[in-house]
This record gives sequence, C-alpha cells and structure tokens, in this order.
Amino acid sequence: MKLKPGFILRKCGEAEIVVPVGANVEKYKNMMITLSGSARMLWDMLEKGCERADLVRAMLEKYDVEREVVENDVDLFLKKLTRAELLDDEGL
Amino acid sequence: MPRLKIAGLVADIRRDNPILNRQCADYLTEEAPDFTVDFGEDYIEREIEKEIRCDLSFPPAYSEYLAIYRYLCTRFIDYDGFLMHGSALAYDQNAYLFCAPSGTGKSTHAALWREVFGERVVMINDDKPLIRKIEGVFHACGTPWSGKHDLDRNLALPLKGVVLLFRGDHARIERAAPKDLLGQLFNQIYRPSDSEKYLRTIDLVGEMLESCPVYRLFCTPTPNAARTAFQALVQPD
Repeated sequence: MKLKPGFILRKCGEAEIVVPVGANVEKYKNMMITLSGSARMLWDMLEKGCERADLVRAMLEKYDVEREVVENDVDLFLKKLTRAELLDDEGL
Repeated sequence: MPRLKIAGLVADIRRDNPILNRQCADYLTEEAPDFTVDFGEDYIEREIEKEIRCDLSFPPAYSEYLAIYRYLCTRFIDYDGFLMHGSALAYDQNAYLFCAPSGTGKSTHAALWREVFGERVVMINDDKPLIRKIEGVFHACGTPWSGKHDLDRNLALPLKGVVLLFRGDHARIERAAPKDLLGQLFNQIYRPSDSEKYLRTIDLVGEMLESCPVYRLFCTPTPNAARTAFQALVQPD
C-alpha cells in the first residue's frame, strides 16, 4: 500500500500535520491529521510504499514493545489514513 | 461603493452591497487602496452553492455580503492575515479571542465580560475577526462582518490569549498545549482552496500559537465564568 500523491507534512507550531496540496486542497482541506514521532516513521514508509508487515517490523525494531501493541497501533494508524481516504491501496 | 480600512489595510470594495454599506461606517477611509475587491456573479453563485451544501439559505444580498468577505479574507492572506471564527474582545488595549463551535456560547461569554467589567471591555468582532501579524505581532482586528448582533469596532489590538470554550458544570480554565487543540482550532479558521494560500494560513496559525497562550475554558453561562477567564487571561500573576 502507498499514500496517495498530493500531500505534504508541514510544521504547525510544535505539531506536524498532513496538508493537502494542489488539486487536493478543495477535497481534503477540512481534514486534520497530526503526526507524532512513531506515526511520522510510518508515514515516511507509506510514502515510498510498503506492506503492513513492514510497518510492524520497523516499529518492533525501533520500540521495545509487545508485537500485539504494535500491531494494534499500526492498524489504528492505517484505519485513520483509510478513513481520510489517503491510501491508494486501502489494505485493511 | 465603499473604500474600507480594515486591520490596517485599505480595500476598495467594488460591490454595492446594502448590508455592507450599512455596517461599514466605522471603516470608511480616503486613503490609497492596497487592493481591490471585485468579482463577477459566478463568485456569488459559488458562495450560494456552498450555502446549499451546508443546508443554509440566505437572501441574495446576504450571500453577496459573505462573498465579499470571503474574497477579502483570501486577499488578506498575502498580508499575513486570516479569518478565525470566534468572539474577539479587548480589555485595556489587549485582545482575547474566544473560539468554539456555533452554539457553545462564545457570544454569551463575551456578553458576560461586558456585564461584569463594563466599559473597559470593547467588542472587536463578536463572530468573524481577522487575525493579522503586524510588525511581528499577531493582532485581533475588527471588521464589518461580525455576526447577528453587529458587535465590532475598527480596532487592531495585540492578541494576548486564544481560548477554546467547552460547556462545563462549573467554570474552570487551564493552559493547553496548542498541538492538543489543533483540530478544534483549525475548524474555526477559514481555509482557502488555493494551495499556496492554504499553506500560508497553516504557517501563520502555527506562528500565532507559538506566540500567544492557548487555554481551555469550561464555562457556564454565569458571571463567574467571565471572572474565572479574566483571572487567568488578564491577571495571570
């Protein structure tokens, strides 16, 4: 799965938010997704394109947490992106 | 057709709108214009389409009145200004902005400030103030588009606090991290469809939130809520 084109990340004060650009502004301008540290890593991977298993593996390598917790977090994040119609292959 | 000075900028309004003509006395100027507000009927048509999508229906003159403001606010972004829904009031030459979804009670809260603190409270704009960065400082600015009570004054005063209102059982206020309220704050900001202006708006909002404190106010429709907010905002020490 991969993120749709036409979105960038922008600092807004201390937060980092997903911002539609170009023709996407009209459709997505009321969306508000802020990214925390781990979400940022997932975002970067999805921008290049990857599978759910890759996201889970990367999280497990970076954070010392149970697989179940990581899988849950990844699924929540993917659901958020799917609901916002940001993913090309909705995957879930 | 009026020439108006709003938030320190002069706009030549090339529309003869009866509502604006009635509201704009405090903003008339003879100074040279910074820009012109002019558009065709198609721009008003789009305004009406937006209203229909939101299940709203206004008389044609009111749709035109709103279209003028939309156009003006889009131009203001080039001058570091943006529209933020809320009730902006002044106390001793400082501005405070109260934001909330419609119906939460921001105008009621602002009215309580006037009731409790009297004439030291001046309404800058009770509904749709412009926020503009002037010489590095964010100001809340009056405009002749100020909601159903027409409470506005042609002022531009430094913004000293942004307050998000929630209904509560008793009055309570707390400082908040802007990033926790970003979604709710953005809901109150006019976001243009033009990509560059949209990005510029986000940057300006980010800068504003770094330069001025943000609060959550849990409020009741009682004078005590105004006193609670006052203590935190005006007399933090």
